[in-house]
Amino acid sequence: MTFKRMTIAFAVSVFSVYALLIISLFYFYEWPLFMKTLLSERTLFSIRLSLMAATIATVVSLFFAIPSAYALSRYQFPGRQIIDTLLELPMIVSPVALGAMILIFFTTPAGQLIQERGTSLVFTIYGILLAQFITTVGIAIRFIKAVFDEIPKKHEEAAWVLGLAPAQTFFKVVLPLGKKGIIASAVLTWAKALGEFGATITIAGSMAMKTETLPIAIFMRLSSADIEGTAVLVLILLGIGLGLLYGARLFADRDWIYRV
Amino acid sequence: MSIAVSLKKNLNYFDLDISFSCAKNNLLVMIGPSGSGKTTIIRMLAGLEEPKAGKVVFDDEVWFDSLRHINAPPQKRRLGYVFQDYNLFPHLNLYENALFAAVDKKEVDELFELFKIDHLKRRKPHMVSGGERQRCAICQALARHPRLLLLDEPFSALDAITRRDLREELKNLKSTMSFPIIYVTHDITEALYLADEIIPVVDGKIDHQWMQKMIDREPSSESTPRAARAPRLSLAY
Repeated sequence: MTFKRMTIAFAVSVFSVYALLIISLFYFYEWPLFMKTLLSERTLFSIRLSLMAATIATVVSLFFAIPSAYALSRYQFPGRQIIDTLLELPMIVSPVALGAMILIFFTTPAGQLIQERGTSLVFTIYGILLAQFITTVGIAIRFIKAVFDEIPKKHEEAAWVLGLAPAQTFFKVVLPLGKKGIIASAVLTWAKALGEFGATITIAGSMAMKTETLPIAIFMRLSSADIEGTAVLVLILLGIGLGLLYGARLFADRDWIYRV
Repeated sequence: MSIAVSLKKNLNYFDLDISFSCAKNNLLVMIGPSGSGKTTIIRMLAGLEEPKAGKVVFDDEVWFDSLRHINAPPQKRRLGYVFQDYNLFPHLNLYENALFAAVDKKEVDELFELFKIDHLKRRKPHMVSGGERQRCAICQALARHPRLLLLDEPFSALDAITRRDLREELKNLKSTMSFPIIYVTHDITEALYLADEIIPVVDGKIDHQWMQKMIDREPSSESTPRAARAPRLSLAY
């Protein structure tokens, strides 16, 4: 077996595992049940809530991630290494642990003050947004930093000598050059937020028609041994997530790193 | 318009310590072997690297003074810089690249005609040849109305014929320019052909003997006879 074939065999075997899992969902698939579950008020609420929360969390994450990623990619400053390491927090601790950390924070005097002066976050939709933001922002910074790292610094230097200030250079050169990579990162961040479960259920709970996102709805169906309903909801989540990711991949593969 | 330069910087293998000046209408060629600190010098002039000590004064404007802690950022120096590796913006076409910091759009059109790339305006940099990219880079630098033009081995990655053509174009252009030009190369033929003044830089310092050795050793090439007929070598201090 040639090396090429061997590596492809590994890729195909991983694909087969995932494909098998997806195909197994269709064992319980029935069109009437699928439509009934999809069009039920509770499922539609979960879809709407999931899409809205993931979108808002992604926008807020990107707002913080883009400048942060640029700073980490380009500048040396005190504490840079510590920040860089802490960004891995959502990957080091499990989402449930991350949710527990947020919950614990809100039992401290500082957390209680925020809740009293601001808005209640625990067991509300704001809790979902916070959980998804905290879970995704570090990952978004990682993705976008990789995009900025790929852009040679020489283009910024060329812009500076042509008279642009660093901020102008960022908007007129760096962002356009990294546009496609940033869009691809945004889609991955959105997909991560959409599928977020552990931290969300820890902070926001699982109240039907209030804080029940799609992943939480799947968990609730499974808890009540409703395998058919679970399979349908997983198919819906898969359809939304994979459809968007595949679209983003096609978009990103075109030429997001420009040839020089 | 003239520039007076005195720079010191510790580099990996040697300490750079150099002083020179360049008057308006002058094309000063900085020549030396690869790794002798030429690009570092030109980057320090552009404000892309900070010297350890020294002073850079353009007319009466201080760009860098280590004693007075002055270090003007690149965008405040208003200079043109043509990089060695065709540093055009890959997301813009050639015309947009030249217009990026242009003062007058009409002038860009004229420059494109002068450099014979007006038919390539809508092409992206990766869709044209190295020579065409470098022509565009020169247009981009000139369109900004620079007070000083820095060229860092601009033709080194080009084939011999294109290099000769561009050298010729630059020489013609030079006669119409009223600002100082500093040109970095390791090609002795190019230096002799273009220069009003030559600074030989070896290991970060001016080395006249190296220059003389190179002239004695230089084999005949496409422009050596012409350079030999009209030597314009006047070594800077």
